Amino acid sequence: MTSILLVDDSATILMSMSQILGRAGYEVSQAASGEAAMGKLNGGTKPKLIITDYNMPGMNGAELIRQARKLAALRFVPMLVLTTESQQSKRDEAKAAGATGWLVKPVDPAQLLGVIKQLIPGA
Amino acid sequence: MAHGIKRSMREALFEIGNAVGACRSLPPPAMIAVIGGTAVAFIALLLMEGAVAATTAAIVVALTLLGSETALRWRRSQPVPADAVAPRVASEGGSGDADRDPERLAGAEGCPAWALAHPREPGLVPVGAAFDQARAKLDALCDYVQKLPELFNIMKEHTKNVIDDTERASNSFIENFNEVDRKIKQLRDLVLSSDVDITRIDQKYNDSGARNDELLDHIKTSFEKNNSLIEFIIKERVAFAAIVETMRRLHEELHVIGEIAGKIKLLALNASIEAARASQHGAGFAVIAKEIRDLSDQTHKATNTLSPLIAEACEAVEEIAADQGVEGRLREQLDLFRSMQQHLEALTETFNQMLEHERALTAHTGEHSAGIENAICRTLAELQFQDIVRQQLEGVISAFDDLHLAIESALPMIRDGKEDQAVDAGAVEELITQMRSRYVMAQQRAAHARASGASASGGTGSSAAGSSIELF
Repeated sequence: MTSILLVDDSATILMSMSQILGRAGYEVSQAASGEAAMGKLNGGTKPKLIITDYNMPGMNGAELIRQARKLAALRFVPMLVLTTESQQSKRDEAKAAGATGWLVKPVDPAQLLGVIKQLIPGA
Repeated sequence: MAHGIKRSMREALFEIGNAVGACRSLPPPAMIAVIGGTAVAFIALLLMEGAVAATTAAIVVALTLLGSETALRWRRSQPVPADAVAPRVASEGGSGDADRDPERLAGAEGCPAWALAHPREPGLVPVGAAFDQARAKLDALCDYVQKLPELFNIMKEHTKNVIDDTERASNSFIENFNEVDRKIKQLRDLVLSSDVDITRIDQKYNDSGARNDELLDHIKTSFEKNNSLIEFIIKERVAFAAIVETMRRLHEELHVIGEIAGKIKLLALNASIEAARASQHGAGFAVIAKEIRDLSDQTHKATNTLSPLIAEACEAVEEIAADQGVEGRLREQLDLFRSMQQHLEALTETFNQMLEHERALTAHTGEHSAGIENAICRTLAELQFQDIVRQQLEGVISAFDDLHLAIESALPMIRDGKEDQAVDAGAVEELITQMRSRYVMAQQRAAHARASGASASGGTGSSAAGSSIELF
C-alpha cells in the first residue's frame, strides 16, 4: 500500500484528509508539526509522498521540505504544500526548498487524488 | 450669505477676544500679531462696506486665528499648577448654565477677567474653561481607551472559543460521519454478500431447478401412468367381472361334470355286472367298464378338487373386482401430484422474482455506493473551511494584539500631552501595514481591500493568481 505522510497543525485537516486519502487506498501517517514530521522521517519513515501545510507554528512547510530533501531516501520523493497561503513569494520559497507542487485550500478531493496519481504512477 | 459671513466673523472675533485674553503671558511677537490682527479687523469692519470688508476681515481674521492658535498651543504647553485647575465641567456641550457660572470659571490659570465677565454666545467657552474641559475630556477619553484592551481580551477569548468550538465540532463531525459511513459500508457489504449468496443460491437453484424439472416430469409421467392405471383398473374390473362369470360357469360345469362322472361310474358298474354275466365273452368289456369306472372316479375326484378351488378363486377375483378403494387412492395421489406440480411452478416463479429483485437491489447498491463515497469525500473536503476560518480568526486575534500594543504605547504619550506623537498618522498606517502583512489568504487581502478601499494586491506581497493547484 502506498504510504503518504500528512503534516498539518490543524487536527481537522489531519482527520479529514486522512479519511479522503485512506478511502482512496493510501496508508496515511500524520504529523501535527514540521518538527514531528522530521522526527518520523529521521526515524526511518519513508513515505511515497509528503503533503504538508505551509503556515505552522515552529518549522513551516518550506523548511520541512528543505530539511527532508537533505535525507537521501527522500531526495526524489514528491512533496506537496497544501495551504491557505496564497502569496506568490511563499510559493517561490517552497519551490526553491524543493516542493513538487502547491495546493491552496480548500482543495477538491478528486483533484487532489488526481495530482497524487500523477505524481505516484501505479499507486 | 452676508448674514452668514457676519455671523462667522462675529464668532471669530469672539475667539479673537479669547485669544487676546490669553495673551497676557504670550511671547511679544505672538501678542503683537494677535492684538494687531484684531485691531485691523475692527478697522476693516468700521471703514469698509460689503464684500470688500468681508474679504479683508476674513483674511485678517485667518491670520489672527493662526496667531491665537499659536498662543493657545504655547499656553497648553506650559505646566499648570494643580490648585489652578478649574472644576471639571461635566456637561458635554459646554453651553449649559454651569459654563456661565463665574465662580466655576474663576481660578483657571490664564483665564482673563475679560473672558470671565464677557457675555458669551451659547456654545462658546472662555479659554481657561475650554482648556480644562478639553483636558477633562481627554482624560476621560484616555480612561476609556485604556479599558479597550480589556474588551479586546474578551473578544479574543470569544474568538479563540469560536476556533476551538469549530475545530471540536468539525472533528466530532468527522468521527460521527465515519460512524455513519461504517454503518453504510456494513449495509453495503451485507447487500453485496447477499448478492454472492444469491448467486450461489441461483446456481444451486439452477441445479435443483433441473432436478425440479425432472421431478415435474416424473410427476407428469406418474400422473399419466396413474391415469393409465386408473383406466387399466377400470378395464380390468370389467375383465375381472367376465372372469368371475366364466369361473362361475366353470364351477357349474364342473358340477355337471361331477354328476356325469357319477352317472358314468354307475353305468360302468352296470356294464361290469353285465360283462360278468356274459362270462368269457364279456371279459374285454369288463376291462373297459373297469377303466371307465376308474376314469369316472378320477373325474369325480378332479371335480371335487377343482370345485372348491374355482369357488375360492372366484371369490378372490370378485373381491378384487369389487374393491373401489384402489381407484380412490390413485385419484388422491393424482390430485396430490397435481397440487405438487402447481406448488413447484409457483415456487419457481416466486424465486425467479426474488432473484430479479435481489439483483436490482445489488445493482442499485453498487451505483449508490459510488455516489455515497464521492459525497463523503466531498463533505470531508468541505471541512477545510475550519482551517480557513481558524486562520482568519487568528488574524483577527493578532490585530487585537496590535491594537492593544498601540494603545499601550500611545496612552502615556497622550497623558503627557504628546498626543501629536501618539496619534501620528504614520503610526496608524504602520499598524494597518503590519496587519496586512500577516494575511495568508487571498480573501483576507480582498476583505482588507474592500474595507480600506485599497488594492487587494498591494502591500507586502502579491497574491498568486490562477489555479489553486500548481505543480512545479
